[in-house]
Amino acid sequence: MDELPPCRRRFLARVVVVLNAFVAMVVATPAVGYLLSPILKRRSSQWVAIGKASQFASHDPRPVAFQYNDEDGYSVGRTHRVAYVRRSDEAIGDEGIIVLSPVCTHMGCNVVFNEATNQFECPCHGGRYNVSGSVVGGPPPRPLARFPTRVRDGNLEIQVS
Amino acid sequence: MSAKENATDDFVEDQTVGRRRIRLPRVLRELFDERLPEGVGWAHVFGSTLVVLIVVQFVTGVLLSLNYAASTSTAWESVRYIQNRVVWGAVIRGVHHWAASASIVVAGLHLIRVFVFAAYRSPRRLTWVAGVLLLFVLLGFGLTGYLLPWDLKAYFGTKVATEIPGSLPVIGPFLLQIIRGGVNVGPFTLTRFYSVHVILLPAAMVLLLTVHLYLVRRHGITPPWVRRGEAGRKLDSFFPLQAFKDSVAVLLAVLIVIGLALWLGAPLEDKADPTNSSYVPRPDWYFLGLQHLLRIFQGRWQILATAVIPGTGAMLLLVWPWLDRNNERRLQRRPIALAFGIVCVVGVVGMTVAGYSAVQKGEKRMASLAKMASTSSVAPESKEAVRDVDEASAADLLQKGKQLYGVLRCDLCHGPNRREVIPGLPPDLSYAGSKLREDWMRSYLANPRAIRYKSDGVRPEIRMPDYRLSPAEAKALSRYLSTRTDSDRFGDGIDDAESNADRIARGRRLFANYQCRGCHVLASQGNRIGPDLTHVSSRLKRAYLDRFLAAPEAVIPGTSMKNFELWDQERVALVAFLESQR
Repeated sequence: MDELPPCRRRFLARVVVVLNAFVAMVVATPAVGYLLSPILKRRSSQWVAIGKASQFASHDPRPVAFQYNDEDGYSVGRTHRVAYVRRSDEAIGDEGIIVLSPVCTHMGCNVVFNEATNQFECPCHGGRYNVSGSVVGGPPPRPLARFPTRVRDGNLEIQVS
Repeated sequence: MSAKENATDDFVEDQTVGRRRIRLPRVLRELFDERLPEGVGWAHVFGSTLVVLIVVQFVTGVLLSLNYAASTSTAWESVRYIQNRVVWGAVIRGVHHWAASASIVVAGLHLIRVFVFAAYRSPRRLTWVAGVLLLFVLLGFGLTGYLLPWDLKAYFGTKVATEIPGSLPVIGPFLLQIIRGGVNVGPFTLTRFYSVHVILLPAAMVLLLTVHLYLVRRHGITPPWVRRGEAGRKLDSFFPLQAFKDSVAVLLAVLIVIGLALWLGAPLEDKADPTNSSYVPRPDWYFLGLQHLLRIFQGRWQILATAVIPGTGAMLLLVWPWLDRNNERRLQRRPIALAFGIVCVVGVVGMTVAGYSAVQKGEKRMASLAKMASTSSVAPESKEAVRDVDEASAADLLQKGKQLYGVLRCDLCHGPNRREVIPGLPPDLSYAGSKLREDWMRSYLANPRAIRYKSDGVRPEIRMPDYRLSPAEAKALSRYLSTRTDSDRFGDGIDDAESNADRIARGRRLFANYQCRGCHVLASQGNRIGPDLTHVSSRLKRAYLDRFLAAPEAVIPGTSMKNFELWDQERVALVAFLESQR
């Protein structure tokens, strides 16, 4: 038995490439789908009561801790978060209350309210926001996010997702 | 060393001939241009196939680990999440499951091929040793991976498997605790096995595989069927002809694995439950042989099964290249090797088959019990499956119930020929299926309690004894009892009677008018003479109630229940009312 003729070599080479490409595809297809699975996950949001609406009378932002049940896949846990609540003269939200997320829009650090400057300050890269959440300095590209709010039975509720 | 020199020569020759038409990286080119000796062909495809299967295991393993959480409170839940909620999750799991089995099979075939061709001789002794160690690593993957889903199969399979080193003399108990991370299979066993499965064994695998493949390439493929020292004719390069054969084998293996993954998937049983006593522990199939050895060698001989036979087998396999001093490669000229090989193959296959059938037998024995015991804790997704299984084992169940009825001698008190008939007690069960609801019998048999009050004419010491039946036994017995019917007496019931509000209201008035509460309690009101009627319709069937109301004395001779000579419509109304009180 001698070497294969060139035309047969070429043909076999192509068959080998096709077969292996097919195997790779068969394995890769479910693998890629599996990897992309989180994108397709259903996102859910819920309304969480964070206190009596009447207690938020001040125009100064006040940090309010709240918690809610967070279900994701097989894991059910309790999530603790903080939001800044203040009464605003802007006609936004129920009864003029705005609820700001403390997450800096730059890189996601938690901002702190500095009473001396009356600004939210980000400890990471120096982003600064005013009491309404608008950017007044530093790198943040957007104002602080606001939670959707509503008042039910006198309770201030915010929508978390 | 001629093989090696030849290989080098060939490579140089290749360079000068310049036969290549496809541009490839140097590494690949070197692999592809390996000159193969005459006789290399379809028998030599298992190595490549195994490498691809290992790569598949690596890919799917990494994917599974992205969603898996190794703790006793999340392992099963996360696997179920992968199985049911993650896109392609069931397929990835199925591929990982079946590729594990496939890699053991292919590794076995690879080992047999190398053995038959005597390709383990010097200079390839270390290649053989690395290969055998790789086989042990594969088995280690199987053993540790089996526990990770933390279902019944995983828990009990691992419990039994870890008992094997635990039964060794002197060091056994210590070894057991080290392996399990405690005395029992528990949270630390899980984290240990997970760590070994995803860190230690993959590292060992990469190391050994590197050594193995390097040595394979360095010493070349053994020319089949020539004496040691003879070079054999070098023929065509690996690419494309042998590459084609390898690719076909790989394709076949991958298609089989994916097919099984799609068709059968990976099993996930109920979550591990250490209290489950009806489960037949079963290791993965490639450990069935070892488990069967334990059935054969018991007592003082047990150490043969736990250490001596598997240990000797493993050692012999490892050092075989040094034991076999024959220079011949043809199998018919190697009687000792042939005998050793046949003993090994027949022993392993025979033990595995025997172990499998023993487990089947044990499962059959427990089938009705195990399946039922798990029904209550079954995940909603697998309810369908359980129902199928229940139907399949319906005959077994009935048989089991009939046996119980005989063994417990129920007929002594409940049969038609009761030795002494006491009014109303104990009930005649020859028509239990017409009288009592099966689900009620099931819960009653599992936990008997008094139905009637102690009163004159009833010997209070005679009560249904608590036989402490398991839920499975209670189910079997109640299923059997429900087949004992008397359709002549209770067949023409009032099944068509729709319980509407009018009828119930009428029944309520009748219940008051006939002063039923004079003897019966209903919703905590009434006299405790006859049975409590509050939940009577969850105990008694409608047709029976109707017949009994029509002629109490005919149904239970000597009963103190009065015949009120009710009209048909009155009985229908009363039964409807009682049902509404359920």
